[in-house]
Amino acid sequence: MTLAPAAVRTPAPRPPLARAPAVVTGLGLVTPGGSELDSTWSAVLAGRRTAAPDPELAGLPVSLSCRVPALEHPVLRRRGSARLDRADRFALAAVAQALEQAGLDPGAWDGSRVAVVTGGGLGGVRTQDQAMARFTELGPEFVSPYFLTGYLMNMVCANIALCFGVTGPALSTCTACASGTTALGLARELLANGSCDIALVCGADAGITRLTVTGFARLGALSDTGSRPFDASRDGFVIAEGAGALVLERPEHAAARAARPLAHLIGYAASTDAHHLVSPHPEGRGAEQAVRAALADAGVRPEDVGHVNAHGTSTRQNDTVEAAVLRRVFPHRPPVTSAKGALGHTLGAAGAIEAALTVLALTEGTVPPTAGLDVADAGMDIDVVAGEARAHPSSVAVSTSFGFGGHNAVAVLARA
Amino acid sequence: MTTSAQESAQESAQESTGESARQSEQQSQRESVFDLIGELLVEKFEVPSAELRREAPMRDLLTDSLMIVEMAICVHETLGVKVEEGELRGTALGEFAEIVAARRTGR
Repeated sequence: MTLAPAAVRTPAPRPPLARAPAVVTGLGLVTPGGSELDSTWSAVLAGRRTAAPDPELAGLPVSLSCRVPALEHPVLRRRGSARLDRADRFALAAVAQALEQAGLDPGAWDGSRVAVVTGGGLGGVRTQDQAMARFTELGPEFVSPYFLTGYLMNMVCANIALCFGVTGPALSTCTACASGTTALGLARELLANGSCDIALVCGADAGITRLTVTGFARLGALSDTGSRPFDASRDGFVIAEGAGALVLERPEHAAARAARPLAHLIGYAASTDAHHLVSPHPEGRGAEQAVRAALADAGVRPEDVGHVNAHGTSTRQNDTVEAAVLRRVFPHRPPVTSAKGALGHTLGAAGAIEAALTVLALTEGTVPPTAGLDVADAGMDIDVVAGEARAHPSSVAVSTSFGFGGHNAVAVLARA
Repeated sequence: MTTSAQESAQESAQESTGESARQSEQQSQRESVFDLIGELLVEKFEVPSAELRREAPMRDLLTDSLMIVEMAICVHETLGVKVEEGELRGTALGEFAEIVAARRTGR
């Protein structure tokens, strides 16, 4: 079953916004490009490809990955930190960075007015692997009590709350590779409906294990040659790990403490393909619906959008479908970039990492290049930035995320 | 030819030498068990090494119940000795090391 583009139903724009935009006041990044914001941004701006053969994946059909370099942060030196899953470590470091940039002191805030919303696709699969190995080789009495605290999907969220004294709502979202963006949207709702004054958003995943990689390879999603979003020769994504964190605040709250706004999250929308468990709808039905609804939510027209941070996974299907959607929604052909050429696909962390990169692109008036893109796919009529970063001031940018399961989430960000 | 008294004195001296060797061996084993447990606390639980005093209560070093359970597993795995969680909760570090050392020797 296919639907012609005309059959895509665009939701009618809502009446003028009842909700104020959320203010972004802090960013934190732990990625294969670097273990903090500046090093990651430099890697992305330079189009540095971080994929490398992974010794842990030796002998598997696909053995390429993008790993986070050595991670060191005071927040990880607390008693009990060594028992944290890798995803928790990434998340705590990213959130600590974001709070520092926001100038927020968790020791001084009213924790009941702070929320944390996380996005992750996998949970602590490395911890689960280790527990399973010990269970099998040594027996149940050697399974660590930290197995479930590392493995359960809510524990990134719970660790952030515990570490920073967040006592308002704490929610863990899972929409596969759209999770980070979903978390952003949900956090904005919590701010808008008065549930909190500050929302810590974090996407985190550390899923580079032999079993997970095998699973993605069995779905035909992985490349063993490199990430090349929108390139004619692209043949899959490269699995990566990392975390991205954003501090969002209600505008009144940020203004009252004279916080420096980095950007505004002015729109968000989600949709679902309901087409196939892992294949995108061939016409991008759900993706287009989400992009158009997010623009309507933000109260902006397509031509107001200065650049697009694409999901751009480097799989044949995603990039083809996404390019067609962007072409239809944005006839003015704004510059498009994909960070996955440099950083690989960080799964549930990607949406948060890329929202942070989009904020940086807005503040610096620069659209980073799509690393790995050499020969643009002739079938795509979009302007993908390749080679070098492009000086391009935008007032508004869109970041798209499309996950397995047909989950689509789109954020609209505006320069502060 | 030695008298029986001399023989007896010699045996006694030998015994005494053997006894003190055994004692010093036990002593060094206790020391090494103390050090090994200290290493576990530092490496696996980020306990600052300055806190590793013999009189430090284990429940102050291992600050939550999961750490206690994990430590029991670590001791079992690293030193081959089973300890009860109650023993970890109710002892000071030095005392706990003695218990583990004694159980190791008694194996």
